Amino acid sequence: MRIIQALPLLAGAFSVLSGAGTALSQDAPAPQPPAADVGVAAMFPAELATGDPVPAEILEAGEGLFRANCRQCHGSRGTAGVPLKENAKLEDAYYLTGTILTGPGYMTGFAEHLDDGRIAAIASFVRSSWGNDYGAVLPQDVADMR
Amino acid sequence: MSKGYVNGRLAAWLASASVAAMVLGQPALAEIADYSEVTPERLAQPEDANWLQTRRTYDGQGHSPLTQITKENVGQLTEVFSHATGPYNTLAEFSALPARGAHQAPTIINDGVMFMTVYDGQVIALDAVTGEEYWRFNRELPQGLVPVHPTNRGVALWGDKLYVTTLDAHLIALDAKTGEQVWDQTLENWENGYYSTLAPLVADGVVMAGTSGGEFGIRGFVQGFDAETGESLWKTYTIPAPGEPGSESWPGETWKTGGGPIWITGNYDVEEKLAYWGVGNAAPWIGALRPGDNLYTTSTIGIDPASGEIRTHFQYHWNDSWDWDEVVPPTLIDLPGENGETEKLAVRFARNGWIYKLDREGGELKFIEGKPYVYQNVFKSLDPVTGRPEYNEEAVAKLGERVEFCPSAWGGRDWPAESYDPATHTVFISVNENHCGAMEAAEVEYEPGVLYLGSGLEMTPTEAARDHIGALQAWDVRTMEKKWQVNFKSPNWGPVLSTAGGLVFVGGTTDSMFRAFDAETGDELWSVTLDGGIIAPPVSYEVDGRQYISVTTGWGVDGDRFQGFINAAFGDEGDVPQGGTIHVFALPQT
Repeated sequence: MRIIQALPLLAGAFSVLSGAGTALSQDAPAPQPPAADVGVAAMFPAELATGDPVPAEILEAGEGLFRANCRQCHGSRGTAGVPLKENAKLEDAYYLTGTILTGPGYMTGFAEHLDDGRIAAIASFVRSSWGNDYGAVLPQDVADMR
Repeated sequence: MSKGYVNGRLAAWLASASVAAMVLGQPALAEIADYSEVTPERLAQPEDANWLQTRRTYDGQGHSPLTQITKENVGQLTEVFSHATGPYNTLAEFSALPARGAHQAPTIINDGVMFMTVYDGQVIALDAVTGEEYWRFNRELPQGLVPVHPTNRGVALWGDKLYVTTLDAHLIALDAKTGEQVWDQTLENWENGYYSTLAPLVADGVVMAGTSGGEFGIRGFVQGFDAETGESLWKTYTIPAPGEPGSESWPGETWKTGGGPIWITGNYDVEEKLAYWGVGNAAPWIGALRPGDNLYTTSTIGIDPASGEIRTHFQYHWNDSWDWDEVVPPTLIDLPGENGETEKLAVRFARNGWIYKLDREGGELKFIEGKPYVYQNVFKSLDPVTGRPEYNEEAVAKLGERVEFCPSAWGGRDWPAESYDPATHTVFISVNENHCGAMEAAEVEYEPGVLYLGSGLEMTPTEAARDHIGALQAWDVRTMEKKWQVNFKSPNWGPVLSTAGGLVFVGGTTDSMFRAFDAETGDELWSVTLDGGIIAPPVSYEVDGRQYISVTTGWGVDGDRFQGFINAAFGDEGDVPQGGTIHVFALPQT
């Protein structure tokens, strides 16, 4: 792909290839970055403490990240897989962030894939949804767990 | 990534002078000259030199009649060529894949042409002697798709076409000579948890396929298509609708989301014109959430390819609560009897840990006998007439209570295929023992495209696992006695190849080794360490009088997850190398 981009004159050759089915023959829109994936850490006010009520902007970012990364297993209502709904274990911010980072059991670990701000936003959203009322997790909390 | 990819060969080619000719409309890459058409006769009775189907023959025996490589000379095997299957596509615009992509396809061989599929939607055609690529086909997956089992298990051949399924639950046909797409059919909507990884099965002009998704509350099916046109001919659900036979085994609306996936290629009884398919687990995992036998989950069904009619079935265990998918079809064996008659058998090592010997005479499955091949603590016994198990209630999941059982959800065997040597009446199979599981059941809501389990999943190696988990077993199907067992400290996820040279080839262990054993004794005769763990089926073929052994490295998905639990239990670390290379071996030429 890189070579084709670097050598636009070869686009004609590539279309011949495509016609012969030797390479991609399907058109697909260019991939979009995951929702709310910029500046998430910057959304956390300096005065916000772990357990504080979560600002709406962070909740919204956390929900977008949850839908992209967590919904397939935990469901949009937090009831699938290992249920997050009304889950008292979520009171412990470090338990939750550690779980997201390492992915115990069947779960994927996200340490290499999501930065501290994004994980904090997801954890803050989960701790504030579906009957859970445990408040914010800060990017620094996630950094401490790494 | 946007459309397109460039592998090394293509990059080099693009940079070459021949590109000018391409722009002027010359043939793209190499069209395969003199491609041998795959006829019904050839599939029913393949030449010794070829490996035209995933298990070589319709009966699923996975055995090569070739004899050039023997117990005496196998020690001289050397690599003839290796070929990287990458580079790969970005599988999903998702931050972390649920599993590493795995290579689980055999190389399919047709008169010197090799076909290989890759977990990311590629199909590769190459020269089976030199490894030179003829063409690559590449399919891009839709945005938002998160493949939980990123793998593919191979192509099916028919006429001048080949068929492959995709992670977005399509069945596509390609021109085998050029890699050009001929048709594309949707099996189901991937957004509802359907995906497909199996190699299709073609019989009498009908190409059949099904989908995975037993963990997402799908309703499983086998669907038949006209191999030429792609027209859908029938779609037979593995879970009957109200009023259909077996529907009484599902309460209320549970049949709509009851699972029953089809994710391993069926076998075909040519004489009876009956395709045997294995049906996986019911959904959700916990039987208490869908009281009843839940037909045809955890069963083998016999489907008429012409009509799609289910003509026979056998259920291994009812109301599954252990995620013991019974997706591998039985091996079809015609066993010469003592009085000159032939016993028509269907022999199956179930994921539930028991071996089943079934009669398939007249296209009807009937229980003959069963016995455990690994430790299992759920069955008290099998009914001697019907084979129906009686359960130890302490090992059956109940709501709100944690229940332990052995073996774990990965079973005594998972999907990796056994082989059968008809000359010695012996089945060779990779098994895993000394691991137990636990589930704690809870009510669960259905949401399309979301896990629908009703329990978490635990796996714990037992104390005996410090000695071994994986093993290779050899069983005499006449006596139903085990002839030998070779143990591996590591799990064994290797599909098995046996050859008429008296050899058994298998990878499957976490040390990335590929080994050959003496089929009679289980003695290890040869081994090589490759660039990754092997969970793809080895195959054997012959071109110009030379016998080859081919296998592809590519560790991932369930083998990787299983190892994660073992590492956690034993405090071990370290990943198994992923590999992703086709390796081909032969004896040195004199």
